[in-house]
Amino acid sequence: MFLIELFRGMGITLKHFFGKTITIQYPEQRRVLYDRTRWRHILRRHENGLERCIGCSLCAGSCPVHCIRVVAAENTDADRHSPGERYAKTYEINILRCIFCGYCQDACPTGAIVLRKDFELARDHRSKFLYTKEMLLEPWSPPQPVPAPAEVVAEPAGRPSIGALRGPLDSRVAMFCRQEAR
Amino acid sequence: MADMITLTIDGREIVVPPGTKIIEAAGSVGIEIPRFCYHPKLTPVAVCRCCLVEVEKVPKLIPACATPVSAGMVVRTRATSEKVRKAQQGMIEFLLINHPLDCPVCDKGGECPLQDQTLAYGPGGTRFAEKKYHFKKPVPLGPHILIDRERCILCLRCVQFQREIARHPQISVTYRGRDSFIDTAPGGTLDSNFSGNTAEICPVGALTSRHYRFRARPWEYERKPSVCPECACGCNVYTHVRNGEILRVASRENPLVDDGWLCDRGRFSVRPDEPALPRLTTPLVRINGKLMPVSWDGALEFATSAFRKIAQAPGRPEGVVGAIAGPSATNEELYLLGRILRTSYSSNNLSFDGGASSALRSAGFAPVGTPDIDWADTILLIASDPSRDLPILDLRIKKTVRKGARLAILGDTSIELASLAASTIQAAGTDLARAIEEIARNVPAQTGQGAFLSSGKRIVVALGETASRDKAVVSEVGKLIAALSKDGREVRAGVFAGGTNAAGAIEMGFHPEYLPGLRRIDDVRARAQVEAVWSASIAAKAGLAGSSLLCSAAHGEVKALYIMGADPASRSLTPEEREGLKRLECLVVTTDRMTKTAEMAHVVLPSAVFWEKAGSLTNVAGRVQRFEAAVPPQAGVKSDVEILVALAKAGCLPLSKETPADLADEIARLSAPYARSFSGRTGTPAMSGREG
Repeated sequence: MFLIELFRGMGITLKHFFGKTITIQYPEQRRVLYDRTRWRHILRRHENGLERCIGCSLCAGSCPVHCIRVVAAENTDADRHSPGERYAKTYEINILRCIFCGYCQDACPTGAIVLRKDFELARDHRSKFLYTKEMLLEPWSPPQPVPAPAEVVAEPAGRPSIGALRGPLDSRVAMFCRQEAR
Repeated sequence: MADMITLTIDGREIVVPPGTKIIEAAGSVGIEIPRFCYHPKLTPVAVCRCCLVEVEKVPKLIPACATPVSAGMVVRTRATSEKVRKAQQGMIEFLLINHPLDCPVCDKGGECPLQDQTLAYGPGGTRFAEKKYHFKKPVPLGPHILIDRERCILCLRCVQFQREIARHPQISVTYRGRDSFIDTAPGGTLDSNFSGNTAEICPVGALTSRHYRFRARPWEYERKPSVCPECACGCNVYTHVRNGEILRVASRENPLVDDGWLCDRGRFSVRPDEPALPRLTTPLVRINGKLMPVSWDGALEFATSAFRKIAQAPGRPEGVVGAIAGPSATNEELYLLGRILRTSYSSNNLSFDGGASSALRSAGFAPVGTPDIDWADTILLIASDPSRDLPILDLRIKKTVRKGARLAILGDTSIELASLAASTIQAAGTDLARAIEEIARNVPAQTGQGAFLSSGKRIVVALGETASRDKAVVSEVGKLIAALSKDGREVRAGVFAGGTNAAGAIEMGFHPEYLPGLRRIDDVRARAQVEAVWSASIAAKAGLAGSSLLCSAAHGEVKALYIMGADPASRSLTPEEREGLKRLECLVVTTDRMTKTAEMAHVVLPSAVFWEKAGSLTNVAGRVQRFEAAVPPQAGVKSDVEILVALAKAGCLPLSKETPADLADEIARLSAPYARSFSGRTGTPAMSGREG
């Protein structure tokens, strides 16, 4: 009496057996991760190459598992890492302890520490899981100079453009001072 | 009390003494009113306008910090008044108008009253879209303090503190209105010995310590209560410790000792921005003329056998060994070293390298400190400069003079306190004793400084350390005390010795003429009491200390010295004293780093620094303050108590009690002030050495 149910069950199994599989053949095929996926941290920079991290330690403070260690230091004009007075001389994340919650990313006031998509982090020794600042900092190289387009009309010296006259107060004042000096 | 005042705050009736400000009255029942410029120890200035409250029948809002309560007053704070709430939000918005968005880079972040009170009382956002003012930042104001003028909210706490409390008005407001900022006088610096307090009371991150800059965040460290070891004031502190490293020292208010203030010497004794001095980590023994690293067992064995050989030479001479202890030696170390020398080596040659003047226990003298200064209506300083030796006592004297006490100075009248003194007499050296004698004569005759002193009812006489070694001076002061102690006047006299544990050294018997508990060595019954506890006999002849000890070593009478945490070779010694150190057959030195004295030693033992030790110190007022270790000891290093216990064991001293707790028990049997400090908590016993 239950044989019919048995065959119906088997039928469904067979249908799927020969049907389309959903397996993604890693590593030849990779899953597309969503934009805000939280994996390996990186320390971002500004466009001009200066580090965004100002060593404020808010990431370490918000981290629920205390896996971040920050030691701050003073920027000097000779040795400048970030805009402003302060930068992170030491920045370490213990990736084994990290739970990839993203609280550090939320806490960061400058958008320095972010979690990106690289999840292939396996290593063969525990010591390799302490990520130092060198490992976390985003690589950067100065942008190549862009050749100027040929059809730019040279402005006569001494007269600010109309657009500049509507700019922020400081630059207007600065222009005024430049004219005064002339 | 008959004249208490009843008022109503937010519908609650409370009763407070007259003169209380509304903000304090509210605080006493748990009603918090935001404030930035108000500080309990400073005169209210009401410049920040954040503490505004509504009082019935008064048309405008009034500042709670500056208004004293009056009977029947009805006060409404933000809890019951919309007007007050809007005013507070508005005032905080004003404070934030030019305040930079520096929180992530500001050292005060996490412990910032502006952050906390903005969150609690401020508006949710700001309407200010214009450009904020800019200053060059940070600017050093002095050797320790940096100012960031963009962050300053001009509460004037720093200016007031320097002017009223420290009495070094080195900073003030420059220009006016929107252009005001805090600055030193042209060409001046903020080098006051109390400048560190301005950074602590600054409600924002404008004034910061150069040594702590960018070092840590408040949630990263532990606060451990302790005591400052730099002078005999014994100010209570918190050490901020992260991962076994001290980052800074902060105040821990104790009204009986300090007022929540610290001097820069104590506060900036911890400087994480400066490279640490190299520590000694292994014991050294002189082999064939050179100091070589050895194991602990080897070094202790060498030291003990050398000392024993000398002490057990034919004739069993007394007093051939001696000990010198440094100023911040703890009570337990001093007691144990004294006991070992007296019981194992029959020696009373115990020298405290920091002013344990025996005048401290002469007739009429007792420990004198903060509680006595508070009590006094007349203070006489004899050849003493508290601003150099005991800075926080200097602040206390300034405070009590501000409240109406009178100050008289005899001695060097160029000291800072002379400007506050109503009566000054210049006298130095040999003239001092004569001058004191003259004052004593003037007391009944009612002339001169004698008259000035005798018109007070509660008189404190403080003798400087060097003068306290002059027997003539001490004797004349004794007579002065006797002359003044008539006609209903009470006199408290003491020695303002600067050596951190000077009072403790005497109490623990680390003195050639005294046994623990202030027993004189020539008092047979007192000696018997101590002998009973120690189960050993004690030599009756008084020993040598200080210069006499070193000179006697030069003559070969003292053959071995144990120097604990002191460095006499670095001071300017006479040729005879230096010869004394060189001539010793065995010199054992315990120190935390190589010093000149250690270089001359036969055995050098690495010992812990103060923050690594637990124990107790006795301050100038006789108050025994216990403390625990703030950081664990450096690897390879032992605390002085551990070293002494190991030496005692190696020397077969019958030390049945070895742990710090047992040791404390034994000391408590012999010393009453020490026993009273046994509350188990740091620095909190309520009694000074005076009570009982």
